[in-house]
Amino acid sequence: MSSSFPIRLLVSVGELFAASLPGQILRLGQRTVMCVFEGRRATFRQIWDILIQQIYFTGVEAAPIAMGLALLLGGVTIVEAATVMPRFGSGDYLGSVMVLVVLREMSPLFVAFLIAGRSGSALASYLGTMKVGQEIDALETMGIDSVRFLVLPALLGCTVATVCLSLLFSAVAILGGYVVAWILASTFPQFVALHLPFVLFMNKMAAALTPMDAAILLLKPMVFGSLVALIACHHGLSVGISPHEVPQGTRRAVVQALVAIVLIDGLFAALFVIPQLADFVP
Amino acid sequence: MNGALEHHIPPEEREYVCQARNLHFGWRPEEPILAGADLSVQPGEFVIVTGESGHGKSTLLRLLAGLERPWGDPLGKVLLFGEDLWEVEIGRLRQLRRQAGFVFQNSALISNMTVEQNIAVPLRYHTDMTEGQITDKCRFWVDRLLLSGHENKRPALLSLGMQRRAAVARAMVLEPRLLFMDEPLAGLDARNVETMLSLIANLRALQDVAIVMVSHDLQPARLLGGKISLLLDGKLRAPRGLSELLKSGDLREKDLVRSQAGLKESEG
Repeated sequence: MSSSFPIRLLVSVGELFAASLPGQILRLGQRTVMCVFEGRRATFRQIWDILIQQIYFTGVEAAPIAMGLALLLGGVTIVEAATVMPRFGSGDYLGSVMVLVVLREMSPLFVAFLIAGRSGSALASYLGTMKVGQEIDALETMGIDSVRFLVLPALLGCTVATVCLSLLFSAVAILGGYVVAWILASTFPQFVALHLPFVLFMNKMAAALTPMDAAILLLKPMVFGSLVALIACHHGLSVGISPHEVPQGTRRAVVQALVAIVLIDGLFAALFVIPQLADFVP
Repeated sequence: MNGALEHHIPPEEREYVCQARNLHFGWRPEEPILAGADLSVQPGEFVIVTGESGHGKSTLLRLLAGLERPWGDPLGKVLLFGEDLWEVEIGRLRQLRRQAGFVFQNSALISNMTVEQNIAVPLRYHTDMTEGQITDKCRFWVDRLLLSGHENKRPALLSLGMQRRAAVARAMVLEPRLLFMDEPLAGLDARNVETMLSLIANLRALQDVAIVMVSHDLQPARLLGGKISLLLDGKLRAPRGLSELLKSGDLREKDLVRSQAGLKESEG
């Protein structure tokens, strides 16, 4: 029995999507998640070591850079908001603006950019070099699933590290940022005004924080981290037999990860942030 | 394990650890490399595949290990322990591969792991052995492959010969019934060639492993025996002993064997 036109159209669209880059990356993600439930549990001890290495490289080694960025960006944001907003009579919204800017947007986005540039590129070039050096073929000839052995720990490691780094970034941006702003205000009182005591500042932020903000603070880095890992792994594993394909794959992985992060951030904004902006409209 | 493996395999195929039937392959459609290659390897057998450079010897080995898919309609068949690599499901394919080691020409050791960690990879992934047992087993293979003192080095710090031996140790650690070796002697100096050949002789004597070796050098056949299969014009000729090939009436065959065995005209 021949299927109807809408079903054939749906099948064609599905096939086109599966063949497209997002489709391939989603399929790699699906395969990676399925790996958790397949095979023997003993294999996890080998994967565990790689997972710890990935978390260390992506999270721990990147922490000083993330903290430095958070200090500066947090300080600048607090100084500007605390100086400018009261002039327009909107000083009461300082807490809300800080939650919106630092927790919801700046922290997940900057950390994701950092992870894409640092770990995404390293992961893509590492896997690409392994592919060129036949190391991935060697794993397959040993009966080892290269997705389970390499992609699964990279995905888990990147996701966990991005969430942790994002939380650290938020804490440093707010607490350290306040200290930077206070130092700036004390040093240049003619330019910078910070008439908000720390306790009041924190109270304003706590009052503005909703459960949705906390959920987004965790959910966004999870999505960004896994996306960066999957895109990097896809391009690393897609390298052919020639070494010149490794930098090409790495470049594609970083650029596409950055674009994907911005697109997904836009999607988050459309779904969660923009509807809440109505509260701010006078 | 073998009993469970063989229960659904036709009796005539049980006697082979590896079979290739009517293999066609090429990297580009207009340039076929293999045109109907056949090969059968029995348990414990030593087969050397040789031929001119760039005529698909290594590609054949990749096909036998299931790393490349054969061309053609109908598809050529690659049977490992009697089971078609391209018909079994992926989980079964991985079980079959555990019983067949592969030594790559470039060794393909994982670059950010030490020699011992490389050898431990298949053990840690496939077995329930404790870490202590794994260490003991790795040390056994490190000693046997003359790598003592180098087990904590990364591959980049090893000589070519050591890297090859580490790759053999990794391939042998699960005690496979079949070992594929891609040009294991290429680029080695005379002393390392000698070491590698004596190690291969040891493996054959003690492990009873079948070996399919791709080599442009027929020294292993001179020193270790075994059969030679010539890859000419995309087809594999029936495996024969070195002396038989040197008496061959086919001049092309005879010349190729003589040159690759390093024999002069008078020695043929």
